[in-house]
Amino acid sequence: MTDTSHKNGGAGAGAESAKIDAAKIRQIAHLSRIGISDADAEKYAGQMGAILDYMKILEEVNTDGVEMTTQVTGLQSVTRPDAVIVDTVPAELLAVSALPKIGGQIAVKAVIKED
Amino acid sequence: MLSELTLKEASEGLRAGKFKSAELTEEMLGRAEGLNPELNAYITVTGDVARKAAGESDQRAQNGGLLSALDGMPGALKDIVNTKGIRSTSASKILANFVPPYNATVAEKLGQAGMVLTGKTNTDEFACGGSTEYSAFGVTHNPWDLSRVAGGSSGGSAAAVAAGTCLYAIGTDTGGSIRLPASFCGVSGLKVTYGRVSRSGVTAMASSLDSIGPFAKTVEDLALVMQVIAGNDVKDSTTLRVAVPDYTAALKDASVKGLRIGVPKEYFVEGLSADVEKLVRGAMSEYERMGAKLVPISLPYTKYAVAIYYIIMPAELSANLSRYDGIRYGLKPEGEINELIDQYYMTRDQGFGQEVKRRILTGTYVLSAGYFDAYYRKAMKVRTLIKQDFDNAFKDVDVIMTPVSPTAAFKIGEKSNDPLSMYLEDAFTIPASMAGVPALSIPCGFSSDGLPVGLQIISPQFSEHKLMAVGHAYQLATDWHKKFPKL
Repeated sequence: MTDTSHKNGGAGAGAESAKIDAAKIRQIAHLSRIGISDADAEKYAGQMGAILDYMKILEEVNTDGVEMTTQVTGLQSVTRPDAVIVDTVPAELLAVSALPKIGGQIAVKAVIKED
Repeated sequence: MLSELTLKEASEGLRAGKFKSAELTEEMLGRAEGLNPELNAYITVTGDVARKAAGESDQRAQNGGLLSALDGMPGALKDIVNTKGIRSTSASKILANFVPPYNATVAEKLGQAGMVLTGKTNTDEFACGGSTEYSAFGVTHNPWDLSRVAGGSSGGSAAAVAAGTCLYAIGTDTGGSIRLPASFCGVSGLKVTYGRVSRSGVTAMASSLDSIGPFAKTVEDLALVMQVIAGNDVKDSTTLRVAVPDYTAALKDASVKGLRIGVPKEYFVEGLSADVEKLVRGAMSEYERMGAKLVPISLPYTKYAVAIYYIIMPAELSANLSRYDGIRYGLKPEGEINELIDQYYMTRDQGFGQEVKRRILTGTYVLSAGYFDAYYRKAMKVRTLIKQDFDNAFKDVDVIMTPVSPTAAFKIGEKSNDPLSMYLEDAFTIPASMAGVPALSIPCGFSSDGLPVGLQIISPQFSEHKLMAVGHAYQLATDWHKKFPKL
């Protein structure tokens, strides 16, 4: 489970070669805003390496000139009347948060640090 | 026993005054509560809610004013379906105490049809898994063999129906999460066309794939539930304004004479267990006997489906789950927090389980600069090719039949530490998800170990009425769907 020696290419033709090691996992974890232990970083590196290796099968597929399918039933630009629908009240939504409330707002820790 | 009735039989029995909803509900709640220590099909059994609804339904029955065929009928909802005033955990620690201030559209519609809610069923955390082993509330056991998984991610819903704790249940299917547990638990399950049923208020997993559908003992019962839940919803812009057919009426035309059944060679390959192959081919022979024609076909891009699924799904999941940041939703992390970013790190580290973290990390990776084209864009293009496979096939055949899964239910713990082998369980269910087409899983026999096996039937987008008629024809001719596990 701690094997990080995979040679990981990208899935598609011409993909950059990417090696998934614990440092890379820690970097992605930061982007994902997930705190992660060193042991977990090692473990995920091994598992993700195996998963990304499996994706290499896609290199066989020629997708030149193929469009992406982003909407499988072909819907485009769905609109609805511009009317306000009130079905929850702000107080109920606020109550869902476990954090303290001040003046009808959620109080969070400092975003900017003072030096 | 009332719990062995089908939804249709129970609904007719209630109307005929043979029993009251209160009696039916008590029996099923007794089973739900009594069996839960063994099965763990439910995260929350909602006895008080059910008894109140049953009483109200009995009042309406007395006054001759039942709301629908589902009025007074016990049913369950997967715990990612948000229910107003009732804890909805998505089987995650991060939402362990979340009580939604609103109802999902599917819960609202079923409520207005007179649903008696027996409870909220277990699932893999945020529907991420194929065995319900990744639930923060413990694994669901298969009613046919308690040492085995119920399948996933809607394992709780499938087990709840199979064990006679409710007459129907709602699940969700993103890559097979209704069909796989239906197959493993020996019940009928329908994955609908993308956009057939509103997803508003159901915790999002992979938004370009997620769908909601029913489990029940029979296809006839699925039709009754579909009648209530299908249709356009202003709160879900992916629900098309396509008319909802009369699903029960469509079953009356259950003749399969002349039906052209596509049999794709890519689904009968190495790795498919001999037991499953024998039963699935046996079911197709039954259709042949009834007058259908088996047509060998090819869906050449099938083998790439798992690879693109495990790119597209984590990518979309990682975006959807970014809302669980500890600010708007629950879980106060343990430990000292000095800055906002610590709050994020700690909430998400302590709140998410291993599989969800693995998928968020994979999704973040494939979406990150430098990899987006190679993974996500490439996968979405291959998705087009898979969809074209189905479009081409349906020019020549009416439906496609395949196994649901290469094997019957596996042992608990057998695959939970090997994510890739767990992912390959979905190889036969993912392609239909990619194409957005509906697919049914119905019981077609038992393996040599006595475990149920499902037949998958796939049809073109928005043809659920025809699909269910095809499934119903098989259930008129066989009785696999009438077997009950000994509990």
